[in-house]
Amino acid sequence: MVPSDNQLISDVRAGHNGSFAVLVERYQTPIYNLMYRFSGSSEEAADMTQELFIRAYEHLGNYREPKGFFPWIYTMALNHARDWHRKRHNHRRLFGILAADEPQGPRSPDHECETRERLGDLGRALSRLPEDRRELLILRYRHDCSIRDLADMFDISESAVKMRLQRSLELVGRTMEGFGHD
Amino acid sequence: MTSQHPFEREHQRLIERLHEMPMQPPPLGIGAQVMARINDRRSQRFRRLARLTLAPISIRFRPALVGCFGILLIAVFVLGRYSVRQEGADPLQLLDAEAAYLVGRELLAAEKQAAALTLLQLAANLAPENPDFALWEGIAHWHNKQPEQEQSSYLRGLSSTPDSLPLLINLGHHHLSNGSYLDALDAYRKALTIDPLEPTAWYNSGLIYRLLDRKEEEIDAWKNFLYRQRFGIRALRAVERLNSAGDYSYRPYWIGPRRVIIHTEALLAEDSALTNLRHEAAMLTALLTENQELTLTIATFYAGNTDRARQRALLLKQLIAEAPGSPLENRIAVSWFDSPETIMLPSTESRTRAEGVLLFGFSDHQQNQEVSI
Repeated sequence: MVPSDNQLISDVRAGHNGSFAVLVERYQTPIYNLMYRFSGSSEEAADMTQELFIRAYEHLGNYREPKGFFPWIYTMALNHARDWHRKRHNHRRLFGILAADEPQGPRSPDHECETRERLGDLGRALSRLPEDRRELLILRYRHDCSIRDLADMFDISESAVKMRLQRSLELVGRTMEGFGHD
Repeated sequence: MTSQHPFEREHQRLIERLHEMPMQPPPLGIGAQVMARINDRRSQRFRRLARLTLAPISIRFRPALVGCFGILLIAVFVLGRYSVRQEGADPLQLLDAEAAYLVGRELLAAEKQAAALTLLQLAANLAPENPDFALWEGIAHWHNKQPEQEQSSYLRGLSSTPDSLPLLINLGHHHLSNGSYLDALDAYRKALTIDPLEPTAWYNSGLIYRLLDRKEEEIDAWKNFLYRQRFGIRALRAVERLNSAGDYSYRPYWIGPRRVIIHTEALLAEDSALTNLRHEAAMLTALLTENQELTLTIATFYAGNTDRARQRALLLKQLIAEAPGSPLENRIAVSWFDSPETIMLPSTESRTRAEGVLLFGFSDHQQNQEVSI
């Protein structure tokens, strides 16, 4: 029988660290993809994923079972990715020639180029959404999260989740039409 | 899929596409690395506790920042005294260019962008010929989302100091951010006439050539960038792009826990170019010396020429081990092939090269793998 997330967490809390490796294996793909969408770099996404899981391990004491492990760690991952993005943006050019070392801003050709190459039209349409809206869509329709979980994760009401989902779907649909999709 | 709400039925096809959206597989070994770091941290916790309780405490500070903070305090003190004496006087008029510049820089570092701009503009107005003041005024404009003024600041600085490298680089960034690729290239080219190896100028030129589909110039830019800079994320990106453009003169190899970029062309160079070969070998020697558990395997490929493949493999071993009989020799294994090297591409296609070299390193406690390009 496949152990549930909560069973694995109980094992980790009881000192069986190996169970955490199962959780990493189980959730590394969605987390890595989230980090990739924020950073646009496979190297950075891998580093960020590692950092996130280490942070999750250290904060496992704060995890409460009813919430579910995936929403819990994804919320943490979103915050981690937002922090990374904010720091990266704030440091750009702050120190002149040294910070000029970081040309990859949110509008950088580097990022756009990789997105175009790897994600295709749907990815491009998603990348035009604000980050929270994009993640809301992916969580709901790619990872099958419930409206209740999304409301908890984004700290908004369920009706606000539905409203945002509806608007985001409309926006992505219109953008896709612009690319020549029905 | 979860149960649908009424608004979702209208977008059924899009939802299906989202549901089937491909996910990129994460790089291999993330789990192993996470667990290794977790175990490492646990064992370090006790040592850290002992260090915290038993070791003497030292305070670290950055002299430059402390200095700036001191100047800021003095400036505030002086301004306060003057403002008491001269009721109604504009405090900014009491600052000279240098003081305004230093305070402006400090405010910028503290993310007080609007206030920083006021002071940096004052400094630039008081000393318009100073390139540093123009540069930082431009950077403050950038922080305040004023791209036109940003450009004016850089151009004004360059009119008095045309060979200012930071001004040219930041002007290039400004054009690149605005999508004016040719103008950006022009600025980077000028920067490269001042410092022909300036890595940022080469890197961003590579990006622009890639976007303009000017492959030869793109390859040249990545090679020049990698000549100067081999470590860090940008170097890995540069080498991936170089390889994807069909040039394998530099390649990334897993050597123990690190991904190391090696100038492969130098490893295969004729004897007349031994200086470059020695340089690459020295880098590998350093890696072996640093990590005593690391072993290195070298495989050479020369299509239809066993002797040459063998000689090259042995020469590489000899140069990396530094001297016959050195302790490093036992940790270097060599093999050679008289067939072309096959390089696997991420797209599952492959390329063959008549001459090639593969390197891979293992350390006892590290899970390693060779990376195919």
